[in-house]
Formats: sequence, structure tokens, C-alpha cells
Amino acid sequence: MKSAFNATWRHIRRSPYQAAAAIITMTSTFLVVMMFALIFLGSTLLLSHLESLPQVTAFFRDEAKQENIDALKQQLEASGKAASFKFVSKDEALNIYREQNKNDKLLLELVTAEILPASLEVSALKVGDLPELAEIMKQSSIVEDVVFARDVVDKLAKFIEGTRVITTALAILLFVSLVFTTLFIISLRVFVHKDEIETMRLLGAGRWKIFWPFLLEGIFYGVFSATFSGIVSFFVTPLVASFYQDIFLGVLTLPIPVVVYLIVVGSGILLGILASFIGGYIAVNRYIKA
Amino acid sequence: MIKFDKVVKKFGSTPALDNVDLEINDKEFVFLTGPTGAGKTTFFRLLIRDLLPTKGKIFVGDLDVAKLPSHKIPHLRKKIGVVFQDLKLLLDRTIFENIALPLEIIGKTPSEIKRRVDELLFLVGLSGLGVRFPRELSGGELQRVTIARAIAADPQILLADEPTGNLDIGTSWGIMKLLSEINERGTTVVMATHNMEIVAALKKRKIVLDKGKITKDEKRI
Repeated sequence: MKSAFNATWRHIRRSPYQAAAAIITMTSTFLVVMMFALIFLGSTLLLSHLESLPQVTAFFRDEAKQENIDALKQQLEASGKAASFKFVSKDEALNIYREQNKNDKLLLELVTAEILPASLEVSALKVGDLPELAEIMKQSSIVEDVVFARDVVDKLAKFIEGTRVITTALAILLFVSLVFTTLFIISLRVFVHKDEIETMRLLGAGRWKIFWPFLLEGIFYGVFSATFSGIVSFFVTPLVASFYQDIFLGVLTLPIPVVVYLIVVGSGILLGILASFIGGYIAVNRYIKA
Repeated sequence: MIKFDKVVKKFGSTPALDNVDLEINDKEFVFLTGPTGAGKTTFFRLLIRDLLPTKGKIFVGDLDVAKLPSHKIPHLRKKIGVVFQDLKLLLDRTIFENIALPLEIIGKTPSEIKRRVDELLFLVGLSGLGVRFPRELSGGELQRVTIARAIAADPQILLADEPTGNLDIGTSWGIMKLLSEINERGTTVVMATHNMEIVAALKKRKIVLDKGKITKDEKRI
């Protein structure tokens, strides 16, 4: 193994420009992938947050008792589509009304808790499930009225769905591009050393004796590029994220925790090692067979 | 040591070796001569299983070369040192590193490699040139490097494919002296050459190949 490390180091040292080109290309690809991974992570959290924002509200009849309301709540929970519930009693409704109209004394004098209905605000796990929850509420005899903005909800559902498809497709594309870039770089390095492979083969070197230096070289590029990209994105992401601080308030912790970076960099390193291993194996095998 | 039993090797329909029967004994020195295209290089390539025979059997010691499974080919090649016609030196490695290559392959330690390579550099008359790169050496010196590399791992057989080709007569004799010394140390040497002056001067066995057939096999003492 030591001789494989020496051979790897010799490959890098004796052709520094090629090694630098390989590192720059792989680092650029990794950087794009990592930045996108972080954006993907943020946008996923944002979409989940957006999905939980729209609510369907049921206003109860005056004769609705607490046990009827609890029964409806249980029915909604049993559907498995509700994310959260907020019950607003008549008194709480009056407080909200007072707060909203505190500058209009006339409106405040006319309204008492008795004329305001109690209500139940429900948010869905998926925005597309809101109509179904609304339907359950409508069928309840204690519900006077059900309110939710169907048009807005429909448009938001389509936007969220579309965004998810696009980001997932882009993530797959970038992943494939990373694997192919690594394969290409390693194949190129192997091609440059094809005479060495042939000579070693004729001198009696076994398959793995030939493989290891190239695999280690690929792994070195993968580890170096992923780590370097991780460090760069660690410093760049907070700068970019500061512009979106307000949007992400309550959704995502900014700056992004170090553990998230470690996971992204760790995944990148594993991906680099895997892609380098596969790329090196395919490329070297081709010349050994030739 | 080496046995060819009715060996035929064809490239397409053209026979490169045609029904070759021969035996080469342990510690022999054999010249393989014949015009270009006679089948000398094919003979060597078959011996190291770089090619498979179309027909017939080849034995190196007790190894049936054609039937050798792929994972045992390195084992065969470690028994045979080869001085390739095109040298096959690695241009991005120093002379020391080129000679060390077979020793690395068989797993020698760095100190063993250093000792052996220094010994070989001395043997081939290139002491002090280990740190140089192939482009910095003359043709004769490069031939010596390939011979040193070929015998580095103490092979039982040394195949030398035109080791004096393109060299002046003085340098050629230097190479021949070296090969004779290697043979005297107990290595079987098979040398392909066009240089009839050398063949005539050294009283060794001569096998003549023409169009893939053995046309003469002279044992001389």
C-alpha cells in the first residue's frame, strides 16, 4: 500500500498542471453541487413552511359544545392530513376583534363575545389536502361556515409541486454531472499513464497493483475538492443567506449550523470517493484488458 | 525450461509462427535470428502470454502458458525478464525508479530496492545515473537500463528483443558482454537479433526463423 501511495504522489508531483486542472474542475463541480444542496435544503424547509401556512377555518354554531368540537377535531386528526389545530373561543375572538379595531370605538361598543362565533383553524400537512379537510368540516352539524381561500391554495399547491419537481430534477442532474465529471477526470489521468499501465502489466504487476495508485489519486481529488468546496460554501452561504434572513425567519436557522455543513461535506467526500473508485476502476480496467 | 510444441500463431489468415517445435534448456544462451516479420517478437509475446497461440502448447518450466488462468499471468511474467524492442521505459520516472519497478511489483521493501538497484546500476555500468530521467541518457545507456530492469527481480529467463538494434558496434559489444555475464550467472537468455556479426562471434545456439518456421537450429560449442 505504501508503494501505491508513493506512486500516487509521484503521479501528482510529476504532472502538477494536470493535477491542478483536475482539482479545479472537480472543485468547481463540487462547489456548485454543495451550494445547490444547501439551497435545496433551504427551499425544502421553506416549501414545507409555506405548505403549513394556509388554513381552513370552521366557525361553530352557538349551540356547539366543547365535546362536539373535540369530536370534530379527532375526526380531522384521524384523516392523517391535518398538521395543526388552533381553537379560538368566543372570548378569544372578541379579544382579537378588539385588537384589530382598537382605533374604532363605535365598532368596539357594538360587539360582544356572544355575537362572535368560536372557530377552529386547521393547517394541512400538504397544501393540496386542505379542500378535503374543509369538506369534513362542512359535513359537521355544529359548523356554521367554513372559510378558506381555494384559489390561493390551489395556486400555491401547484407552485410548490412544480418547484419540488424542478429542484429534484436539478439535484439529480447535478449529481449525475458530478459523477461523470469525476469519471472523466480519472479516465483522463489514466489515459495519460496508459504506457505505464501497459509496462507494469508486462512486467508482471497484478490487477490491484496497477489499480491502487489511480484509485488513490481519484480519491485524493474527490476528498480535496469536496473539503475545499465545503470550506468555501461555509463562508459564502451566510453572505448570500443574509439577503433572505427575513424570509427564512422561523423557518431555517441562520447561519446554517456547522453540523449541516459537515453532513453536506461528508456526503460530498463519500460521493467523490465512490465516483473516483468507479471511474478509476472502469478506466484502468479498459487499459488492462487492451 | 522453455518448450514449444507444434505452436501456430496466426494473425487473420497470416501465420506469424507456423508449427514451431523447440526446446530451450535451463541456463542456455540462444540467438533467435531471421528477417523482419519472421516471428521473433511473436515468439517472445507468446512466451509472456501477451498473445495466445492459435494452436499448440507452450511450457515455461511446469507452467502451461496457454492454459494459465488470468490471475496467474503475473506469476509467469515474474519468471521472465524482458528487454523490449521499444524499451518501454517510463519517461516520467528516473532511471532508479524504472529499474525499481519490477522490485516494487514483487513487494520488496524500500531498503531492499535501494540495495538491489544500486547493485544493478553498478553491474550495467550506470552508477551515479539513477537520478536522471530517460531523456537524459544515450541509446546505449537506455538499453542497459532496460537490461537492468529486466533482471532486477532475478528472473529465470531473460528475453532480449533486438537489444543491440540502432547501437554502434562498440556499444553493442558492451551489451553482449553484459548479457553473457547474466547468462553465466545462471539465467537462460534468448536474444532476438539481426546482427549476424555478433551471432557469428559468440559460439552460442542459433535458431533461424523465416516466415514463422524454424529453418535452422544450430547448437555450437
